[in-house]
Amino acid sequence: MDHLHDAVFDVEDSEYEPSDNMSQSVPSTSQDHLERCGRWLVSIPRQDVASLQQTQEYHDFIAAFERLANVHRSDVARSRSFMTLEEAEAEAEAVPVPRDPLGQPMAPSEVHGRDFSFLQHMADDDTVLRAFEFLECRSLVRISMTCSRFRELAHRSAAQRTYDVAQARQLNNVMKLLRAKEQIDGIGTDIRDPHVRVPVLLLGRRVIVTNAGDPEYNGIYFCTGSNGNGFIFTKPRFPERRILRAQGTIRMRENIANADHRGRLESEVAHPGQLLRCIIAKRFSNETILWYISKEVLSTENAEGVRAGAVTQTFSYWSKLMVVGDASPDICRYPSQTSILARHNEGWQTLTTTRATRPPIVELLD
Amino acid sequence: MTSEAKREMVLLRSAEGSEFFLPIEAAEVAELVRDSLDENEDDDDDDQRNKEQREVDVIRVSCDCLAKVVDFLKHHDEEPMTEIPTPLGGNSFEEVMPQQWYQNFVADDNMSQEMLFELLTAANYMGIKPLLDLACLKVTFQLNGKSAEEIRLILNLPELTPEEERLAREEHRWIFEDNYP
Repeated sequence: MDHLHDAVFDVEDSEYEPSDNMSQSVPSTSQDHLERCGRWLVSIPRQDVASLQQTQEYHDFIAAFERLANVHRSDVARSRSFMTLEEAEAEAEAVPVPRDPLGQPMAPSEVHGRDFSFLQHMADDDTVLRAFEFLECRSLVRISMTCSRFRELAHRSAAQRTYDVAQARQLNNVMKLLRAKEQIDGIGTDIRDPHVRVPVLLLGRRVIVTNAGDPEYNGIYFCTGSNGNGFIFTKPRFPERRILRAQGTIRMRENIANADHRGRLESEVAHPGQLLRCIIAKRFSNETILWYISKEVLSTENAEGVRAGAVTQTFSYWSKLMVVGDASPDICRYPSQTSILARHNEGWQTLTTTRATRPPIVELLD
Repeated sequence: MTSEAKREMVLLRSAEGSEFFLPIEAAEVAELVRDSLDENEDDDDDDQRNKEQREVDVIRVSCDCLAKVVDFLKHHDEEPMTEIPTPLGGNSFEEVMPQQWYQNFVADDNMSQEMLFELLTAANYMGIKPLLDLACLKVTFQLNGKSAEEIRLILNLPELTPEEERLAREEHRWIFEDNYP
C-alpha cells in the first residue's frame, strides 16, 4: 500500500490545517484519516471554495485526488485477481474451520467473503441502494449498524422509500414544521401570515381482529388515517392482493359483493401496485353512527355506474360504539372492543350478506 | 423456440477477450448493448461494416461472469422474469421468485458469494434491470433476519467505531426494545 501514500495529498504537511469541524478526538488510524479528510472537505464553506479555486494548491489537490482514485481502482482490481477461486478454496481447506462470533462453523461462501469485501464489489451507491430497497425496516436498521457507509446508505434508502409519506405529512420540511408549531403556539396568526397544515399524530395502539368468518379480516390493524367521523384503521387484505397491470388493463381476481348499507364510496381509480385493504371505520347508518368493518374491492367491469378499475368497499360487520364510562374517552376513539361490548351482551355483528359467517372479535393490543 | 441460427446475433467480449454470441433481441435487454449498437448504427461512414459487425466490448466484466450474464439473457428472452414488487410479496426467496429457472440460477449450489456480487456489479454496469433485481433479491434474503454482526461477517464489512455503535443503538432503541437480536 506504499504507493498509495505517494499519491495522497499529504494533509498533515499542508499549509491548510484541518478546520475545527474535524474531530480531533477520533483515533488517527489510516482509515479514519481519510474519513476525516472527507468530512473536512465537505465542511468547507461554499464562499471559501471559490477563492481556493484560484490557488495552485487547489489544482494540485484535484490532480492528486484523481491519482488516488486511479490507484484505488487498480489496487482493487489487482487484489481481486490475485486470489483465484482455486487458491481461495485451498486456503480455506488449509486453515481450521472458521467460526463466527456465535460459535457456528461458517459456510465456505462466507469464508470466501472474508477475502473479498462487499464494498469492493459494490462500490456503486446506486447498486447498494437497489439491494436495500428490498430490505424490510428491521433488517435495514441492522445493516445500518455494520459500517458507517452502510449507515448512511440505509438512511438514504429509508428516506427514499418514505418520501411520499413524509411529503404528504409534511415531515421532510423542518421549516414547515416550525411554522406549524408557531400556529399551535399562537405566533403569527394574522390573516396575512403564511400558514401550513398542522400535522396530526395518529393513534398508536394496534387493533387485533380474530375469529372472523371471513379470514381476510383477521389480523392486526394500524391507525392510518381519518375520515369525517373519526380515525380509520386498516390492514392489507393480503400482501399479494395487489392491483396488477397486464396488457394495458387493470385486472384482479375478485367479485363485487352487494352491500346492505350502500357501502360504495365515491369511486377511486385504482393505481397499479395499490394494495387492497380491510378497513375499520365509523359510518352513519341513517342517523346512527356505527363502526363498520369492510374490504376494498376492485371493479373488474363496468356495472351500476362503477367503472372498471374503480375501487369500492364491501361491508361485512358492524358494531355499536363503546360508551364513555365503560371505557375511557381515549379508548373510545378506537374500534369497539368485544370485551367491553360484552358487558351489555353486545358484540360485533354480521350484515345480511355475511350472515352465514362468524362475526369477529376485536380487541386492542399494547 | 426460435433457432439462434436464424436470428441476428451480437458478440459480447469480456475483459479477458472471451467472446459470447447471443441473439440481439436477448442482448438488447442490456442498456449497454442497446446503446452500443445504436451508436454503431448512427455511424454513417461504415454502414455495411457496422451491420455485419455487431460487437460489444464489455471491458469491466470477467469471462466467468459474462458467461453467466449471457445465460441469463438467453433464458430471459425465452421466459421473461416476472417483475419483483416492492414491498416484497413473500417471506422467502422462492415465494417472491416463483420461476424455477431463476431460483436455480442464483442458488447457493450454483453460485458462490463472490460470483453473486460480481454478477450484481455487472448487471448494474450493463444496465440489465431484471438481473440486477434478481441478484439484489438474493442478497436481500441472505441479509434479512440476520444480526448486525452476522451481516458484517457475511459481507466482510469494516466495523463501526464504538462511538458510532453507541449512537446507532440509541437511535434505533425502539427496534431493539422488542427484544430482537
